[in-house]
Amino acid sequence: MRSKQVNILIVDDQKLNIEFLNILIKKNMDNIDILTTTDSTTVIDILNKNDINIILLDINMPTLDGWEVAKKIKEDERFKNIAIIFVTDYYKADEFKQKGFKLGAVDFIAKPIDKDQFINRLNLYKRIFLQEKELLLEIEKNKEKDKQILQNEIRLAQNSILENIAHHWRQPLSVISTSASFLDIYLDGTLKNIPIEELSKYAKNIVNSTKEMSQTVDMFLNFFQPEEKRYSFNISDTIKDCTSIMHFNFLEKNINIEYELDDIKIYSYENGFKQILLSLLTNSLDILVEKNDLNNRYIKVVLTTIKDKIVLKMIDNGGGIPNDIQDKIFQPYFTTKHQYSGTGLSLHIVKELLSRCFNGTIKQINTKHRFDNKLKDCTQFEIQIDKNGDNNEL
Amino acid sequence: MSYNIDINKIALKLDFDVEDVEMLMGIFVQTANDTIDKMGIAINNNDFEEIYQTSHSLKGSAGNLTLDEISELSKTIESKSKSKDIKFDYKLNYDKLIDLIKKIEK
Repeated sequence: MRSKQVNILIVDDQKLNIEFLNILIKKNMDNIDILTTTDSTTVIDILNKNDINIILLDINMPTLDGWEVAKKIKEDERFKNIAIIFVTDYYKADEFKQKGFKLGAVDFIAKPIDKDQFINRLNLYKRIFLQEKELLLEIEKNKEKDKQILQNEIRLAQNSILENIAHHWRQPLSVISTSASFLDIYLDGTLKNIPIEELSKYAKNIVNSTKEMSQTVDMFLNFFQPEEKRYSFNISDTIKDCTSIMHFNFLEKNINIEYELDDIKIYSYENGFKQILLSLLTNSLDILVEKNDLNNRYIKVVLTTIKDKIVLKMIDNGGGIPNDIQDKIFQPYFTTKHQYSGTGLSLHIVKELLSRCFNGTIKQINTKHRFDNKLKDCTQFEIQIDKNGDNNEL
Repeated sequence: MSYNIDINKIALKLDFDVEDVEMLMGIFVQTANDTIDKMGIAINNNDFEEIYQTSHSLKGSAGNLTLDEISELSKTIESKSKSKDIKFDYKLNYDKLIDLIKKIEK
């Protein structure tokens, strides 16, 4: 397998030594590709053209000895991860300690070679190399995954916004349709003796409804405009904006929403904040629909300041989050929802967005809260943001 | 002459294939002949530094191939030349070395 491959370069002016090591390695190790040279002046050239991971380097060579070769390799940033192993009968402990390790060598192996020791050591370096490689690959993969997940979530959130626009439009559309039909029939001459005020009322209905529809579009467009600038906004207004965007969802699912909002202004990214709020609201909505009866669905939003922190609490009576998953909810890729049913951003992304753009934190606790004069098991998300904190760039 | 090369035995010892050992022996003989020539000249010139270098090199390569007699003899010449021991009979031991290497060539 290509990914398990380790490339070794053997440098020794004695052909016999090279062949000996070559056979020894091939016979005892898997997935090793071996390049060799008897001319130490060609080493850098070989490294430039090949992806070498480990070098077995003789010390006592004409023209350019092992020390000088090692020095040249370590001078080049691109080769800094190559493991240099001196193979030498020239070994003197002090000389090696002074020179070899300073030059970045990882080890030495003394000639004549002890087969088992040699293979064990080489296997060790092979393993280290492969682990490092795997780690780097994993990091790259995760970065890519994170990006995709974020994009996917934004797309899903956009879809849910579209659904909301459709909801918002249903009512004015039916008003327009009714009014237009009425005017149409009147113009046909079927209806007689309609007072002009009555006709004007229908015309105005149409105008007002189209205004309402275009306002809805503006509202959602604003929401998704990638906003680069910070400005001062009233958080309680923003919260109301968000709940009004979801107004029809709440109405349809019979969710009661309560507010306890202080008037707090902040200089920050309003749209980012809206995305966070909508995600949390959508989460609460989904869980309430899944768990609770129609007459038992409550959400409460509390906005207040504690010292220099703005504290936002969102409480729903969805029963709390089970202990065994409580510490996982902010991890990437975690969801309790079925694929595609989730609409908001994941809690992981919410947490990221909060810390990146608002210098904020989020935590979740299971608590009891009084709704409709009864204490109910609730999930509470608490966001804290610095009131005067210098928020970072989006 | 007690010295006899058994390729199969060496292959077993090194855990190499017989063909590999044969190939290595070929290279060994080739380079050993060069080294031996240099050593001969050095002995005639009383060039201890060169005797040391050549015997050292021979010791190493013979050692790898478990050619213990060549390795041991080279080691003796190496240490004697290093301390510039003039009482040691380099010529005699040099001839012994040549004999041992000749054995492999066959």
